[in-house]
Amino acid sequence: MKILVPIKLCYDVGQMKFDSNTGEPILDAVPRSMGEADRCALEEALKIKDSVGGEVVVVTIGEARTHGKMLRDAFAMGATGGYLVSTGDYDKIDLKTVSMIFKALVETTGPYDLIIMGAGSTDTHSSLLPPMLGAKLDMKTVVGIDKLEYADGGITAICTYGDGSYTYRLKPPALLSVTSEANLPRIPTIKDILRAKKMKFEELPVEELVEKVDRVDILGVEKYIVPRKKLVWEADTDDKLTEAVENIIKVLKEGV
Amino acid sequence: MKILAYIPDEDWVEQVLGAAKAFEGEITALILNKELAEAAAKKFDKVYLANVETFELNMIREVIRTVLDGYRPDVFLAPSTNKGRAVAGTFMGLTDAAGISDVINIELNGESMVLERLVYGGTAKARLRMHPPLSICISPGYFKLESFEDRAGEIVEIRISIDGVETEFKPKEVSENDPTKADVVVAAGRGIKDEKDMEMIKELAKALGGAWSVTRPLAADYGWADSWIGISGIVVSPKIYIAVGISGQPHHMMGARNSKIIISINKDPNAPIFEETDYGVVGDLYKVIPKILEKLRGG
Repeated sequence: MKILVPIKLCYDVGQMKFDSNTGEPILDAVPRSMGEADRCALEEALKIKDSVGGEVVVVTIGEARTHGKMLRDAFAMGATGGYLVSTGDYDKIDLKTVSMIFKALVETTGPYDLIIMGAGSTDTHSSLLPPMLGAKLDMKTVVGIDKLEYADGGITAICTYGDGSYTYRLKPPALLSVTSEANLPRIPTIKDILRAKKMKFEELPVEELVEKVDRVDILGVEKYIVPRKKLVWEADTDDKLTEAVENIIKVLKEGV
Repeated sequence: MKILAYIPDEDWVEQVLGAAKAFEGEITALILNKELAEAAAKKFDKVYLANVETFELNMIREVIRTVLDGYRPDVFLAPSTNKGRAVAGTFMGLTDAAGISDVINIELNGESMVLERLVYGGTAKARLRMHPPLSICISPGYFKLESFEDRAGEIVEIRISIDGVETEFKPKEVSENDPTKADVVVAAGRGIKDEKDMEMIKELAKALGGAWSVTRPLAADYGWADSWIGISGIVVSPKIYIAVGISGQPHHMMGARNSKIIISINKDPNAPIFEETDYGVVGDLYKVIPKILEKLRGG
C-alpha cells in the first residue's frame, strides 16, 4: 500500500495578532505547524500502514527553512518519506496551481493507492483542494470524512453533512479527505523524534513540476470586525447580578 | 456573464440568487432534487436536474462533466458548506477555474472581480482580485435577494449511468431544535461543567422560543450534542445569540459572528468573546442563567 499525504504549514488562528493602526495581521508573530486536519489525515494513513504495511509519503509546498521541521514532525509520527516542492512566496500560490503541482507530483512519484488529505486547512479552510485534485486525477473521491475504516481491502468512510450521515464504501485507488474529528493523532516519542532527525526529505523545485506558478492577487488583509456595542455588566455581588440580569431581560424583550 | 449555481436545498435559492445579482446575464442552476428543481425553476433561466438521489461526489462529477459539454459558465456559485465546497472544488478540477470560498462580498470591476472572504478562522477579511472562469462559495447569511423577476425556468434532465460509490444515507433526525433557523440561539461552552447542566441551557432556549447548541468540545469531545456551532460545524445567524460560558475562540466565532445581537455570559472578564459582544455579563453562569430564567417566568 502506497499512500500520499499532502500537508500544509498553517497559522495558529487562535494566536492571530493584528497591527493596531493598520488592522493588518502580523503573521511573523503567529506560530505555524501542520494543519489540524492534515495531522488527522496522516494518522489515518499511518493506521493503514500499521495494519497492512507499505509506505506513507508526505508532501508540502514551501521552503526547507520553514517547512523542514513540519516534514520531520511527519517523519516522527511515522511517515516513511517526504517531498518538499520548493518555492518562495508559497502562501500566495493559487489553488489551481497547487492542484497542478500535486497532480504532477502524483504522476512523477506515483502511482499511489490512496491519497489522504486534511479536509480543509486550519487557516484558510476553503476545503476546495481535495475535490479539485480528485477530479483532476479522475480518482474516486470522498471528502469531509469524520470516520474512516480500512479492512479487507475496502474503505468505509462516514461523513456528516448538513442533512445527515453518509456512509461510502469503496476500494483503492481513491482520494479521501478527513476532518479534524476523524481521530486523535499519535504523539511521537523522543525516540521517534531523534529517528526523524536523521531522515531526509527530497526537494523538488516547483519548476520541475509545473511550467507556471500563478499567485493570488491579494489587495489587502485586515482584521474582520463586526461593530458591537460592548456593554458589559459585572455581576460579582447580588445587587449587581440583579441589575445585570434586568438589563439582559430588557434586551431579550426588545429583541425577541 | 454566464452563471451556473449549485443549489443543495431551498434555504440556498435566494442567497445564491442574491450573490448572482453582482453579475448581469444568464443564471442556470444545478439541482439534484426533482421537487426543488420544479419549485425553484422560475427563478432561473435554466435548471439542470440530475438523477443523483443521494449526495455522491463521483456521480456529481459526471453530472458536471455532462453539463460542461454544452454549457461553459464564467462563474460557478455554491454555498460555503461541506456539499457546496465539494461540488465547487469538483467544478474547479474539471475546468481549471480559479476558486474562492467563504465569500462575503462580490464587486464586479470590468473583466475582473474584487471579492472579500473570511480567513484565519474568520478573524480577518481578505480582498482579492480574481478573473473568470471562477468558482465562488458564498458564506451563509451574507447575500439576500430583495426581489426577482420570473425567468424562463426550462428544466433540462441529465441522465448519467456510471456506477457511483456505494452510498448509504441516514437523514438527520427531525428535531424541533434547529439553530440554523431560529431567531434566538442559546449556545453553551466549556463553562458548563456537567451534561445535566445543559438542561438550563435548553430551558432558556425554550423560554425564548429559540434553539440551543454548543461549542465543538461539548459535542465532539463530550458527546452532549450532535452538532456544534463553528467553522467545522453549523453556521448560525439569529437575531439574538446568547453565548453561555463560551470563551470566543476564532473557529467558534466564525459560526456565530453573523448574529444580529450577541449576548455573552462568562466569568472571565478577559475572555475574547467580550470583544464581540453587544451585551455581556461578567459573572458565574450558574447564578446568571437561573436568575434570567426566574425573571422570564415572571419572578
